[in-house]
Amino acid sequence: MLRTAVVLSLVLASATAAAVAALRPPHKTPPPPADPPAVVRDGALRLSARLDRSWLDSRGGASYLEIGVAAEGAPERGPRTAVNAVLIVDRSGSMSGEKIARARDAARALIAELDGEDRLAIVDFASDAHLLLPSAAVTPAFKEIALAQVARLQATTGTNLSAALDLAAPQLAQGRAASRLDKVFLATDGLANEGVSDRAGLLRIAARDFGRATVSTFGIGEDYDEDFLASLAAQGGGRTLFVHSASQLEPAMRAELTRSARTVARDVRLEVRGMSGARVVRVLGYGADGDAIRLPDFAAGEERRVLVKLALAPSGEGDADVARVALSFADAEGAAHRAETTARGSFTLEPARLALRANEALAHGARAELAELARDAAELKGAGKVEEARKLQTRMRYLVNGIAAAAPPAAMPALRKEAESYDVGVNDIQAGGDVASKSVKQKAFDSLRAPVSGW
Amino acid sequence: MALRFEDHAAFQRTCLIAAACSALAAYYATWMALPKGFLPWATAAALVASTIFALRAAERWDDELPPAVCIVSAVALAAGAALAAPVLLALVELLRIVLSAALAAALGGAVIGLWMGAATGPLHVRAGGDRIARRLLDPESRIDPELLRQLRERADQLEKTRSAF
Repeated sequence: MLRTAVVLSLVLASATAAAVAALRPPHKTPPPPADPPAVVRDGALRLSARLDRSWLDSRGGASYLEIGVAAEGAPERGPRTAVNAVLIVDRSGSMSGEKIARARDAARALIAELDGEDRLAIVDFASDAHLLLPSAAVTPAFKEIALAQVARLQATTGTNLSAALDLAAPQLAQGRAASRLDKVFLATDGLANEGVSDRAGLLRIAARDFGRATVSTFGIGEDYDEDFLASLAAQGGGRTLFVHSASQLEPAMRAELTRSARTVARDVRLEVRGMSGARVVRVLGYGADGDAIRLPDFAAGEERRVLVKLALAPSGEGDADVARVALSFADAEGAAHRAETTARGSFTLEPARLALRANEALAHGARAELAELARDAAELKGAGKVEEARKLQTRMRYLVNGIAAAAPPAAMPALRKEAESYDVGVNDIQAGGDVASKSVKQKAFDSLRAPVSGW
Repeated sequence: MALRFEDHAAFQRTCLIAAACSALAAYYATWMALPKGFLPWATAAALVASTIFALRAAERWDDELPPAVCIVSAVALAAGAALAAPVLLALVELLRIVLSAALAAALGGAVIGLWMGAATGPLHVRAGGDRIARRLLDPESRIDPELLRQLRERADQLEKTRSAF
């Protein structure tokens, strides 16, 4: 009897508390001090930086820094900037049959897209590298010769990629001019097994040989080293594409070339430095080139996002600069530009302020981290480390669940869907480098590096 | 007409279990970031738990059902609790200041469960005296007539003996 009275009292008390909470006037929290991103303009690019939340915990913690780089102008496709292109084609033994036919298609697609303002060289490689076509203006006569040479491409043994990179470098230098964009295209189906064949060594050679050129990679078939091709494209500011079928090649080549329509900034680099005790944990999806992060060239109207994970040290209450971001680039005429901005936050211990929801940068940061985890899980699963891959999959779920209460609610469904898609993709992986593995890795690559408008 | 509240223990158990189930569902929904937040999951869990325990209590009713008005009241109260559940969001937002999101949601879920459990209260209401009292009031229907005749004779003899003194 007494207990029943207690239960009914609890019901009454909770109903009263809920009613009071629902009817109370909204708590007036001071407006966030640094929610709008700090924006600066220099030349054709606009730089912005913001933290994922305005109120930071004085006891320390972690935060995402979202850096936005946007090119001025409308994204319409005008006459594209001329290119100085080098195509490197794999003709190793594994390329025989359908694959070499696809490589020929890739070369033909590229030749068809170029015109007299452009220059093109083609290098093919197997056990050794061979200069199929030296760098020259793509005149109609050149096109005829080039197409005839491409038709004669035949598969043979060995895969000596380093020799091909070394042979391509002088061709790239030969065609270089201020009015042309340097572009390197690599189409391959396998792993380098002659010359320098380790990933780090090949990346060093590519960085040395191609410098500021944009490097895009096309993996053909299912045997290529997608991690190397992704790293090479990331380092070279280009794109990596898993080519399922020959029909993908022509539009992919065209897309890569038309991205240079009205290129307004090249050799774009970002430098990020933590302040007020904040430390850069890592830049999600981008490898640092020294102290700088290399971004791809910017076409007019293009916008990219770079997410940086920061570790915050305990700090006194009050406003503070948390990170400084510097942007440097060369405009279409080659003139150097530099812009700097800082991301500010306000440190507090007040629970009401710390409980406020974060902005979209939290969801963007989580999405980038999710892509990194999915890529690593795919790598582990492919290597047969099923348990370790499963741990990363669990971390993916924890990551999404962990931010659900703090992130803007509108951002959560898409994030959840993406996490599920990665989870299913990783579960589908049966062996390293299989179709499922390549799909997960390409999705992760695009998620991390594609422009906001998408590729 | 006299009303009585029957089987307090079953009612308390229903409230407790519904609150616990609902709290667990709310915690899980928040932790797993399930779509639409914790509220629908907590409400569903509370409703299922309350229904199961109300039906288990009904097994003990035998042929004695609660009045129809009580059954209707219970359904109306449960519907009211479900409709009123969104007002808990403000309370949970407040709790989030001092608790983690999952714990705050669990507390909110427990309240929904408590409300749903309490909504089964009318099902425990009965009209008139309880079963035992009614049986005591009607012994003749339960005692063998021959035994009753002997009891009456003995009572008469006792009465005569007492009056002789």
